[in-house]
Amino acid sequence: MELDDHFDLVVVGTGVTESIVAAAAARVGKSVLHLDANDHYGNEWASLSFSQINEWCKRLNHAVSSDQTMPDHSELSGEESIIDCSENFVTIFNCSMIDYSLKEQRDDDGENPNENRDRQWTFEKLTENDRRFSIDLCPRLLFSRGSMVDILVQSNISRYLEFKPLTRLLSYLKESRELIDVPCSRADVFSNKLISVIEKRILMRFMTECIDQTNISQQLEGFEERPFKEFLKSKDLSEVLQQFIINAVAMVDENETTENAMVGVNRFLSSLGRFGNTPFILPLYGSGEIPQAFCRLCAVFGGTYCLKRSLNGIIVDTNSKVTHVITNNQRIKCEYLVTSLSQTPKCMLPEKLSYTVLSKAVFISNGSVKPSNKEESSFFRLAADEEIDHAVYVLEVGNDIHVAPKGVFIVYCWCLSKNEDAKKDLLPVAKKLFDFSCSENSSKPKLLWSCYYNQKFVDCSNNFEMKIKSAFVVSPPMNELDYDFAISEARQIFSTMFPDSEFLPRAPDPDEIVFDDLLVDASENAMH
Amino acid sequence: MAKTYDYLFKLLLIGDSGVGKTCILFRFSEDAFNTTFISTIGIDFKIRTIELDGKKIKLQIWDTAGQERFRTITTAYYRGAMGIMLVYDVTNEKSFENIKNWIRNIEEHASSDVEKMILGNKCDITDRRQVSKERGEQLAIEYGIKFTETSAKSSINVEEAFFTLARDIKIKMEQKLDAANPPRTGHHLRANEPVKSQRKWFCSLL
Repeated sequence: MELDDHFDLVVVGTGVTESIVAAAAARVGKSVLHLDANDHYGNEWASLSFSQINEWCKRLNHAVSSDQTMPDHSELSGEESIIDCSENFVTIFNCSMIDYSLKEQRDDDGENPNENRDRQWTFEKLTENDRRFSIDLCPRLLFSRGSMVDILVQSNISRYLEFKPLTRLLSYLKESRELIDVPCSRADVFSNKLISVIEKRILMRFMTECIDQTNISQQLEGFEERPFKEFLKSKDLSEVLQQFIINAVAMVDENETTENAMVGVNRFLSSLGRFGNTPFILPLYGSGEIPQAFCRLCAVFGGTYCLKRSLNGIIVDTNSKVTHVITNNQRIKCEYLVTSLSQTPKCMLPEKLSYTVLSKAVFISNGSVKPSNKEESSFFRLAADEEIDHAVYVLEVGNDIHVAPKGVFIVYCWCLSKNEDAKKDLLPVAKKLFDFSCSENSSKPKLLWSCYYNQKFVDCSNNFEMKIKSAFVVSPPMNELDYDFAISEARQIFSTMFPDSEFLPRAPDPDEIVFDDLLVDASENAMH
Repeated sequence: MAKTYDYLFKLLLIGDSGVGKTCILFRFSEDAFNTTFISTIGIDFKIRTIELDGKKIKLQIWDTAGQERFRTITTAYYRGAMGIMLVYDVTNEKSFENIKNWIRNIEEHASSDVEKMILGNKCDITDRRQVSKERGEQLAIEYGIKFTETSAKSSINVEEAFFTLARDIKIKMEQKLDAANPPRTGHHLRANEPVKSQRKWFCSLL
């Protein structure tokens, strides 16, 4: 089927940022063509099934040379030139996948394999449950009063998604090498045996002070530029409480300035008490649902979707302005082009791009890192120590939010990389959380499958002058918890393209839409 | 606010472009027909509350938003769907052949216990018919799915089809409710979320 020959906006890549831009443009009446080279939605923000992520890892390791052919130059007019799209910028590298699951025994040597099978998660059993997995390439938590929640509610896109509160926040105690619950509610505090009554009072006093903005700003005087830890010490907070506040509440390094840390504290506190016990919510079925929700809105407002489709060429005029794209040998006129960095031709980008590298890991395990009598979703921040160079975000999810079969957990870790070697950065984390000893009586869960990879983060929002006009390159996922960066970048691109249009105004509910011709139709029927 | 219904069913319409999914939706929800809807622009879902065996059932019927054109329906579209209408056009052989592909798609993305029904739409058109009713029935038997021919234009069987699907879902659901605890799902975010005061947040902290 042929595509239309003209669109206001062509978007390449269905990641979160691109999908927000596409939805916002379609919402205000622009015609949008949205492509993705992958066979699934989400690009680097996708959620994949177990078999899909296995294939994804394999594909990264056997980079197939592009089978794209250069488009025919003969169709170009004298004023036009064409940008070669055969080589794209690569953002994900260094992927290593380790399968720890047991292999099903084919031969019957005395033992009953079926009996084993019920207890053990073999690779075959994981594959059988393939569709029960939604494994995020870009795990995220949403602050209950964060920018993503705001935008979903404001635009009415929230109707495409379901959420559950993150059930618990944890804190890792260096000394005892154990994970403990962070009290987020009165009930939690009462059941928490690790904090003494006096500590509870001190913690409560501190939090109360933080909420009272005018009061706290006086107390902060003199501490603004000093390390947060010093400020906490001055408040008589014990070491355990300091760890709580630094890692679980402020989510900063202990040497972070007090002023910056307090931004995190306020953000945490303002999101508390809205939906559940913790300040966070998680989308059911994984965060790959989020870009899809924006794509759905775009489609509802007329956007055209095409997956497994990439650009063969970009045509620019003498002013270096994009005029057309070529896809599947079809020449399509467009006013603007937005491309995800990972689907952007290399030759469109500056020779030298400055970037930071993230290390990421996905672990699939046969139990929770902190067993509980109900299905939980957990988050904690591991502070840097002798083994870990940069603080690591750790999110554990499972059947509670429908992303894994019962009894199986997915643990995501992500951090800034020190050596551009994800495995080196994150194996120490795995060793803290999982049992590598193969002993039967370890209290830690066993790993079934894992994968490590590095991802380049390039701030495309204002880092470089684009060689061509009317084209925008979108940054890959950055090292953040929520979607603040992605949203502000999408907003910026949208308002540059369409400065007079509102950004994602509320979409009407179906019962608010009145079709004029239907009214005529109905009244005609009544007359007959 | 009191609930005005006993059950809420999420239903999907699936099938090739141009088979009349949106027209079926409008016939059922508005009792109207208009051929000027060439594609599905701006239509997300429609709601109609019906009564079955004394129970009020709110049917939320979702349209594909045109994403079927290049087979790019989001996996998110299938989440939580309890019933699916598979629609083909009796005047279009290809759309009938593609039903098998759509079923494969459903098996891949929808819940395994989703209720399905096949509709052969545009049965009012006799001179251009390419797919006989028997072939439709045969396909439905092959997959063990219910089948009916419909015409959104002439208002044939549309009402009946949705009632049949809704009844099948209701029976299945009531069996499940008897068997076990009702499944707990997530929540939608709403704009009119009760806003708690600063003081309240602090209370919930400690």
